[in-house]
Amino acid sequence: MSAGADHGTKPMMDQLIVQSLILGLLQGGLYALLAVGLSLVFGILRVVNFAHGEFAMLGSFAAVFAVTSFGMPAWAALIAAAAAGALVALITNVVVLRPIYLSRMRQKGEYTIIATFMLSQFLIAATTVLFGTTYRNLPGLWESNLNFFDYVYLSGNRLVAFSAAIVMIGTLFWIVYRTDTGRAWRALTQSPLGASVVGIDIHKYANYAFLVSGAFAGLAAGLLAPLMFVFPSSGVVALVKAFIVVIIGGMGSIGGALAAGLLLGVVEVMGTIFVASGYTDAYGFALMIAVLLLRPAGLFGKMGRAI
Amino acid sequence: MNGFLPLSRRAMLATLAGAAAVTILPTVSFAEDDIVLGLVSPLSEPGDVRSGEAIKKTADLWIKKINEAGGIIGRKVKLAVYDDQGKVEVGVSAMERAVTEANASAILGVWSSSVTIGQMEVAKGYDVPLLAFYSWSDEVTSKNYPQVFRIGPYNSQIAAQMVPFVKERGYKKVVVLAEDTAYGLGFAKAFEEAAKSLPEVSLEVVQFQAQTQDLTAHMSKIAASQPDAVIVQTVFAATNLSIKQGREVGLKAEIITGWDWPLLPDFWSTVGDAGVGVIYPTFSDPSMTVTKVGQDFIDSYKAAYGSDPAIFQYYLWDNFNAVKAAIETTKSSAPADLVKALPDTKFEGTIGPVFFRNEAGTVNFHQWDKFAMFFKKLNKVGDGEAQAELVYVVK
Repeated sequence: MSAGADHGTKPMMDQLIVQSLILGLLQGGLYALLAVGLSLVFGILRVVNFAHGEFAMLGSFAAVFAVTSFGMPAWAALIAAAAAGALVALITNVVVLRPIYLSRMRQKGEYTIIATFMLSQFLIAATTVLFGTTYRNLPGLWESNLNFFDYVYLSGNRLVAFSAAIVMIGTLFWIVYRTDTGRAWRALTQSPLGASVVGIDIHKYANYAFLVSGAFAGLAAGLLAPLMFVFPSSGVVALVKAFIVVIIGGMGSIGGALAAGLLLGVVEVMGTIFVASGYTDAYGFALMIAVLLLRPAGLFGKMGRAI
Repeated sequence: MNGFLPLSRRAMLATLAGAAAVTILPTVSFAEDDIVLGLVSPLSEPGDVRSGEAIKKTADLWIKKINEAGGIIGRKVKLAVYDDQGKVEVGVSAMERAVTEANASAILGVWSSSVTIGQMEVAKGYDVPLLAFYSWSDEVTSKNYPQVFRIGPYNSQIAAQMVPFVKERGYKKVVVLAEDTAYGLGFAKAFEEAAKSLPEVSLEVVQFQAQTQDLTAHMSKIAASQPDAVIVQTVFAATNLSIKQGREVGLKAEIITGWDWPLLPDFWSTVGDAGVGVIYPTFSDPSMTVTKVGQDFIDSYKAAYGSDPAIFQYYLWDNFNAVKAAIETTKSSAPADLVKALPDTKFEGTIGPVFFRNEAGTVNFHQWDKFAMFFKKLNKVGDGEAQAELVYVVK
């Protein structure tokens, strides 16, 4: 190798390390936003929601139609995404899940998994039939490719998405730890029966949890849509990532979801760039298995239920 | 009593499930005298549904036109449609059902190379002809199965045709971004082999998972290596994502798509400005000779669906006509008879005479390959086939 080549390679490697670290963190923020809704519902109701990815997918379709059919601006499309995700989540809770988790049947957990999995397949199929399989794009809030000193390259939309994700997760922290709704949720995680004895309306707060969970999923998808595309099965990968984040962070832990999302994003991007490019998903699974072996409750999880 | 029968949730769910099953299961009852052709294609996710829909449209049109003309050897032709979902195991099972349930005389419409390679074992086991058209893996014909035919291009031929293009453009560093399928990795391997004739060109292969929705890490890695050109070999969402996300992370190289997906309707709406400068290879050009059969196909397709067919649909049309020619030659729709007749079948295809090369021990076994390859550049947003600049032709 010539001296010139050597001099050129190291700065390039440094640049790639910085670029990949930033990309990983930005990606991780979105993973966390996708995962907190899943974690919230699990923490409060012990429902493992396999349709969470489809709440996100439907949110992104709502955002696309808000822009393309109604001419709404990009920021309004995000509200439409959150609203659509929240609405579908609420309907799912009332029609599909509530009869299961309030029933006296055993194996409620298994039934909720089966029911939400079937719902997920139904929503993908129905969306395919209704809207077709064409890839759709959503304009973002900052449609620019940014170049920082010819050293780091990012899209403006990715920065917007990450910032919004951090703000939203911060807002959820505030709701959980500083509001009556949060206190009710935390009471439900400890003892649903005890909570109802002291006057907490389980139906009402379960509905709130699903509304927030669906809104977060829809919003995350609306933020991701300008970076990726919108199509009927786009929620499948989102769900897998969200589950990995929830398991690594600890089931039901919002703080854990944030930390795990960032960690997953960095591990995936670094692994892809510096280890082998063909195993992006495998790095996440390997991380998850390692965490399960060393700390089965997740990095920030507790053996009991909590949010 | 309000006049309605009480319906429990369980009964309602059972009814809905039953109705769904009836709707989903393919209809496999045909009149005894009908000739049945199996269409096994990606019609739902995670398969390449965009292409699956185009395949289905082509097949439906061919069946309609043939039956309007009196069928084949006086018998009506029916299509038994099965969805392979782009998954090997589903495709294999779907093909087995097409053969055993619908008694299909031949299987057409297969798409993904990985799925086709799995289905070839079924074709061999049941001695049923399997006709491929856009499954590019060399293995499809290099395995030399007597039942397998291809009217369409294949990886090593396309790779070999890309070499003079790379030389003509003066690229010194080329990256192949390949999805981890028989098609993607098959092309990468074939191109590595073909590019040995260009020792001055440095070549790197970057592999990725076919279903990925985020290629920023891969594209960052590629951008950092500062190549002159990136050849993208993929089928799924990564098609358009690789272009958009590549530009997002500062990739300055020319992007060459592995096939002519920039002509699909979702290209410009999803890629936007990032699509300007993209070069795509295609097998069609206004200068290409279209036969009477081809023109009739184009006119019928436009009348039926309001748009021009893509080139791969020409090849599929020829696939169907190959089966028709074999049935007419043998006066039989028995799969084993067609397997024997197809290698020597000759007929007028959409862009010229179609016949199979039958060079045993090579990829050119039961293979038709008389096509030219055109490289076209998109110079502004919204450019289509008519506006794209022809930058190179390999004949």
